[in-house]
Amino acid sequence: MATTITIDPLTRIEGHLAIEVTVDSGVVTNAKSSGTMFRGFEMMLQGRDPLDAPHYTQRICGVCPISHGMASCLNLEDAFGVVVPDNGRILRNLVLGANFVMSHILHFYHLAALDYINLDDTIVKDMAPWDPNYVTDDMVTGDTAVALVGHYVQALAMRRKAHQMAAIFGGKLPCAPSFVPGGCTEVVTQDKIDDFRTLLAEQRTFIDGTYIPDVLTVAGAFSEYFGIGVGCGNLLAYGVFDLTDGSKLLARGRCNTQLALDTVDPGKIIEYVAHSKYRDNEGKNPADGVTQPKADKPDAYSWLKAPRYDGQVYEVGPLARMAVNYLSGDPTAVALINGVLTDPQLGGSEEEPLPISVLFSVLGRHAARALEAKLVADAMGGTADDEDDNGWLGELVVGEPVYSESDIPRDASGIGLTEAPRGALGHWIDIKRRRIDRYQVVTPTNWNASPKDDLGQMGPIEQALIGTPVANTEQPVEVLRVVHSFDPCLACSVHMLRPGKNKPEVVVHTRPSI
Amino acid sequence: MSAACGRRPILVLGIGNILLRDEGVGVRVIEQMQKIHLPDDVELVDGGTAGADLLDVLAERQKVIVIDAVQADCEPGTVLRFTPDDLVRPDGVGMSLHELGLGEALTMTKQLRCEPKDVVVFGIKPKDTGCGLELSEEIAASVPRVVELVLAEIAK
Repeated sequence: MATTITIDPLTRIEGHLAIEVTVDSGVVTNAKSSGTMFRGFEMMLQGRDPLDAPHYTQRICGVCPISHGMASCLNLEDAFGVVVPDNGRILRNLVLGANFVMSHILHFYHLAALDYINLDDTIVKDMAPWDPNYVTDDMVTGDTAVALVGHYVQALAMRRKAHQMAAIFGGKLPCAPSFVPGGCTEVVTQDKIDDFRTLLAEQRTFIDGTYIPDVLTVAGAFSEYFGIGVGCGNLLAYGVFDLTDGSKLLARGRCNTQLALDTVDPGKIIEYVAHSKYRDNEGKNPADGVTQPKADKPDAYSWLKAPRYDGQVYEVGPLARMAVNYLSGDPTAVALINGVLTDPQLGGSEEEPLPISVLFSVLGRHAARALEAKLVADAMGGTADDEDDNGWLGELVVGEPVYSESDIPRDASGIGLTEAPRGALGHWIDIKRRRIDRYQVVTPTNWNASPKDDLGQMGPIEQALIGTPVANTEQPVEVLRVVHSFDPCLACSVHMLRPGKNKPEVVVHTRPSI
Repeated sequence: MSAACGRRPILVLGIGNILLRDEGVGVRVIEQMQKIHLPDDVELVDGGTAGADLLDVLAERQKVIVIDAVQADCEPGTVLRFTPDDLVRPDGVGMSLHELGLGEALTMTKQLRCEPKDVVVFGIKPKDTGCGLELSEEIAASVPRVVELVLAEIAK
């Protein structure tokens, strides 16, 4: 007999998410992912000075504000036609890179790890911020659990230090005031470079010596999760961290379980709304998006729209980025991923590596996230072995400009595509008479936690839940493990926009589901 | 290697919101104490409004002395000395991590097996917690007394 389980709110994520699954004969057969809060950032931006956008949009999320700052600046730079000087580009990359490191450490230890640890039944029972928390027989116990919990506490300090590092060039974290269209307003000095390098060295030691080993320890104890949470099998990345040679550290591209690599054309993105609480009847590209909230729309169960690429469901995030880099032949990504596929702790070896398909899973996402933290941290500081490679820090030049001046055009449009720690992030703008006429944000969790689209296709998290075994419907930790692997950020996913000349109508929906 | 390896055993932690006048008295006490020479085994921390993020700052200390504004039935400017068990906890589960404060952070350290050995709180009853950066006169006058009490506590 089928049982329906509702986890509302699902905790140890960012924001407000409700998950409903149907379990039949011990396996999930249906799933619904609902974003349960709504704020209306695009409404706030309408009619404002475009220069307000990077500051407002960073307030969309306190965990990944820098990505929004970056996307917004790229968006305005596209609309204004301004080129960022090298120092400015590198400074913004350093602040965003530090935010990636902070966010990935936060995710594994403070959001996901407790799905796998049982500290003698005393941990986290029925207490905020950890409830609903489940305790199951398959959890890691004893000395391993104690060690992981010790690292959980250490990781809190590492996160704070990662943000101290980011604040050297960001001005402050979260929400960096130094991100402006045209570059960055923080000046480069040798002292700041040295301070950043010192903090970065500590982060790299933690990533290499604690974070990655802990992910492998958990993966080794839960290796069946290399086959759980496969999801839609399509991955998409806009790419991020523009380098001096014009390429991106993490490339733009799409790939899938057939390992076919393909390009990304933002014109092929449609946000569907059939099951989303918005008034319109058809999906639109974000550049043309017209949306009005409708809380009581029939068949709608989420405040998230359903972004799709070329009519297909796509997952975004570190897995997408690492997979695209791997398939593009990036030697660093290839070495890091092959290291995991040949790791004896996970059942792999040089002679018989695990197949690439294992990456499309709960553990694949956690592994990709940890490896990406290393890839980004190493790029910031340079190769330990090579004296001449000091990474991005080594490319900064004291005394060179950090931003370019620009004027706000009378009428223009722009698009800014980048990556947040959680995945592909896009901002779109229409400027009319030097004011924001339309501002649209499509975030990674829009893609990942989306509801069904107009074509009846479930979103990535919903698809990943189908087929997940649930041993005990009173303790559905398996559901948490699948959802957490996506690192959902719901603050980022729920927006409203209202283009046009009419004064925006204030719509307040203050009934969160608890 | 624990998070607390190599750190000072005594923590003096001032918490509160300096944008709300007397609500920030804990931080203002820390600012005064930064001008005094303290023993090597003491660390001063301005905890601001950090809440549950204080968990690793609190972890594994021998002694924690907290200074904060406190709601109590007494005259503004009164300084109370108590332990965290004396605090009345708000009911129910909150909506957000931002609502978790010192009490929750200490309970979390207990759950994570890294609780500080001894915790004492000096609470000052505020007069005015409206917007502003200045302490009200009565509360400003109590700050030197609080500093004396904290120094006496350190010396114990």
